[in-house]
Amino acid sequence: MIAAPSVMTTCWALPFHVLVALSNADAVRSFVEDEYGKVVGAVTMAVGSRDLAEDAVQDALVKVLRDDHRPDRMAAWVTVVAINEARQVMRRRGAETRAIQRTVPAPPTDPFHEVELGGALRERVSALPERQRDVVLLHYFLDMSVVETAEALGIDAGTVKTHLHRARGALVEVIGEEDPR
Amino acid sequence: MTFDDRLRRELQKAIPSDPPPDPAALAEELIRRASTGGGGGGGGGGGGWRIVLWLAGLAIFGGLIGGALGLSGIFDSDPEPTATTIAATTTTVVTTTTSTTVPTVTTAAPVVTATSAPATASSAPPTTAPPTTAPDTTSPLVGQLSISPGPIWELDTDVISCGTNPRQSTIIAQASDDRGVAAVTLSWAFPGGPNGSKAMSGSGTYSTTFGPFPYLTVTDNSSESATLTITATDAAGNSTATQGSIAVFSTSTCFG
Repeated sequence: MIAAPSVMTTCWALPFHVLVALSNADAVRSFVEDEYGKVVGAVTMAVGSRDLAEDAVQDALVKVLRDDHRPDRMAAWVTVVAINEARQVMRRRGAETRAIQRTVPAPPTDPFHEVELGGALRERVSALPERQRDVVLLHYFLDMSVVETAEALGIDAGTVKTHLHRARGALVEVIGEEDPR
Repeated sequence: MTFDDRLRRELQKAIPSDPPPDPAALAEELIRRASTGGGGGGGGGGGGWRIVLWLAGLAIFGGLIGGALGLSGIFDSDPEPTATTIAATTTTVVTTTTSTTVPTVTTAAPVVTATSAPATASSAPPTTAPPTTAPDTTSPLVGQLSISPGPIWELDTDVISCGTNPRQSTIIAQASDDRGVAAVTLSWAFPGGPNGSKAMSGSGTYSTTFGPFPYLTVTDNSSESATLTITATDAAGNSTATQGSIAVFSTSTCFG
């Protein structure tokens, strides 16, 4: 028998396109080089665990590669997907975590385990409600506009402004008086 | 300097954003994970069976074509899928041994009988015993998960309509098992609830619908990612699950 064919592009049981459709590889390489650290920082602040944040960001990047889907704003997409993924993991672990917390002293509240001037601000941001925290991180930390923040989170711009207004009120003690408006 | 500028500057200082120690190595690792089908949800091992299955499929299919045509070459066996195909993000395999004693006949089709038992079965029960079957420890296989369309929206309210946006999605997955698939179920979980499940129908290819959901299923004026889990179970209780996700938007996001 003559040699079997060497290439098969699809198979019902195996998404072989996954094995070859890596057209986003360069975009991911660039992202890891330039934006990975900042996005991991934002997700860490959002979910309170750097390990969980790194795992979630990496999983989100694998999705970008595997689904052959390149978001218009990769940093925003990866951040939101990673935050959602990490929070789902945390919720799944919720009962276990609560049980452990009853018997073990509370871990440090600062996910970066550092003591520095920024600690107070991080602590205050961590204490914000989830949605306010997300909006603050996307808008102030990742430098996204109100509209971009709204699109990334799937909410309207007015809601983003409301969250920003409330967050400012909570952060004013750390940052200083809000400007007269 | 405005309050916003101060907050922005202080956040940049306060939140460490160091790049990874070796960005190139990390990027290549991610690409490797993607190309081997592992990755999402820490399920790096989930792609192994797919590779084995693919290689088997390659050998069999290639042999058939090569034998039939008597020639070699490059070919494309399947058309591209028409539906949006979302690869599974997590694959877990749960194997359950139902008994610690010599197994008896189960509802699964027996593959090894007393007359065809291997030589090592000489210590098996006497010939008057009922036919025995090897324990089924092989979990079903679940193929890639198709979710189409996505995302979807909650149902309209009296005052808000989301127009022609889809309200439900069709979920399709392929499942197989060496002794037959007993059941395939779709279960879903929204962050903080609600959760639910339903049976999927079909043979080989299983499908069902996801949604529609009433207003306020997800947090008002937002979207949530619902985790979908497809679980295939065989008669012996072995099961394999694969996960995907779909965004569900609140009706109120259509307001205005």
